[in-house]
Amino acid sequence: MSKKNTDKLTTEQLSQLMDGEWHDINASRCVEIACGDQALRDTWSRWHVARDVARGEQVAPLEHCSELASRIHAAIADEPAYTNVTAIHADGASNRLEVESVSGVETSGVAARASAPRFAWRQTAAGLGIAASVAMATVLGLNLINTDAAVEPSLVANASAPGAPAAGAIVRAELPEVELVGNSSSFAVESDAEGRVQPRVVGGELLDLLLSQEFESSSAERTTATVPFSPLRDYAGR
Amino acid sequence: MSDREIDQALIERVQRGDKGAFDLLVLKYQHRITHLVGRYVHDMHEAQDVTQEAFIKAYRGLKNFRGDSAFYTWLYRIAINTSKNHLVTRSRKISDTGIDAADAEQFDTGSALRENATPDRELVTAEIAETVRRSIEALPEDLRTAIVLREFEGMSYDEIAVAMECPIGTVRSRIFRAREAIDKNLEPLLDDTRG
Repeated sequence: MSKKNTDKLTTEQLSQLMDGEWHDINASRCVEIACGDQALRDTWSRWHVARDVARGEQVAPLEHCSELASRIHAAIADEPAYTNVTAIHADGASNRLEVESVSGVETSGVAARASAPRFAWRQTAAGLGIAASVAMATVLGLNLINTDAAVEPSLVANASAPGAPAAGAIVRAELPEVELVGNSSSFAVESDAEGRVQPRVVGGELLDLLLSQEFESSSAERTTATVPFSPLRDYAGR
Repeated sequence: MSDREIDQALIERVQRGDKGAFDLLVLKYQHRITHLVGRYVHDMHEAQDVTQEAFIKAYRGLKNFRGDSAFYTWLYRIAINTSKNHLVTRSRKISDTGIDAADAEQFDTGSALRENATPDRELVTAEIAETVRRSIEALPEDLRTAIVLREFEGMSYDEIAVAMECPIGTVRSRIFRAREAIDKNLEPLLDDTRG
C-alpha cells in the first residue's frame, strides 16, 4: 500500500472519528495518528471550520490558528496528565457516575475529590434521617410515660370518691373480664364462680402464663399498667 | 453519536491521560473560541493569547467537568471569564454585551457583538461561509445528500444508509469525499488568511 493510500485511508478514518462512528475503527489509534501528524491536524481543524460555517457559526479568520494550537499543545505538555479518571457520562437524560482506575498506580485522589460532593449530600441526608427518627422515638416514648403519670392521679381521685371502693381494696370482683396485651400473645383474666381470677391463656405461651400468674398473685396489691409487662405499681405505695 | 457525545468521549480520553484527545478538542473549537474572545479583545494577537489561556484553564479544570452541560458551553464560559479578567487586568472598559452562556449552543450568537468585529474579519468570515456554501451546492447529488443529512440533520451513518438505501460503507465514503471536496476549496482561503 502506497503512502498516499495509507494517508487516504487514515483521512477517511479521521472523517469517521469526526462523526463519532467509532464502532469499526480503532479510535485510540486514530487520535494518536491525528495528533502526531500535522497534515491530519490541519485537516481535522479545517473540516470543523467547514462544519461550523455551514451550520451558521461565527469563526475567527483563522490567522495563525495552526500556530495557536501548537502553542496550546506545548503549554499542555507542561501540565501533568490525568492518571486516573472520573468519568461522568451524559447519557441522555440520566447521568451516571463511573470511577475507574486506569493506571492503578495512584489512588483515586482526583476521583474521590470529584465524587465526594456528589455523595456528601446523601450521607448528610441519611444522618439527618437517623437523627430525626431517634428524636421522634424519644419524644413519643416520653409522651407515653407522661400520659401514664397524668392518668394515675385521676384514678386515685376516683378511687377515693364517695361510693367507690377504698384505695387498696380488691377490685377483682367488679372486673368481669380484663384483657391485657402481651408482646407475642395475649391473655385474659376472668373471675370464676367463686370470684377468683383465673388466667385464660390465649396465645398459650409460657411467658404469658408466668406473667399472668405473677399478676394474679399480686393482684390484691397492684393494678394494671399502661405499658405491658412493665413493673406494676401500687397506687397506695406511690 | 451526537457532537456532545463525541466531545464527552474525547474528554474521557483526556481524563485517562490522553493529551492528544485534548489537542483534537483545541483544534475543533479554537476558531469559535478565538472569535468569541475577539469580541472582547479586539487585537487579534492578544485574543489568541487569551484563547490559549482559556484552553489551558479548561484543561486544568477538566478533572471537575461532569458533563452536566455541553463541553462547548462550559468552554464558552471559561473563555468569557478569561476575556473579562484580561480586560480588567489591562484596566480596560468591559463592554456590557448582554450575551449569556446559554447562547453558546445557538448557531448565530454574533449579533450582539458584531459591531466589535473589524471589517476585515467580517469579510474573511463571509468569504469562508460563501465558499463552503458554494462547495456544498457544487457537490454531486449523492455526496451532497449524504453530507447534508450528516451535518445538518445530525443523522448517524446507519440512519443515512437507510434513508439513501445504500450500504453503510458507501455512506462513509460519500461523506468523506464530500468533505474532501469542500476542503479543497477551503484550504487555499485559509492559507491566505494565515499569510
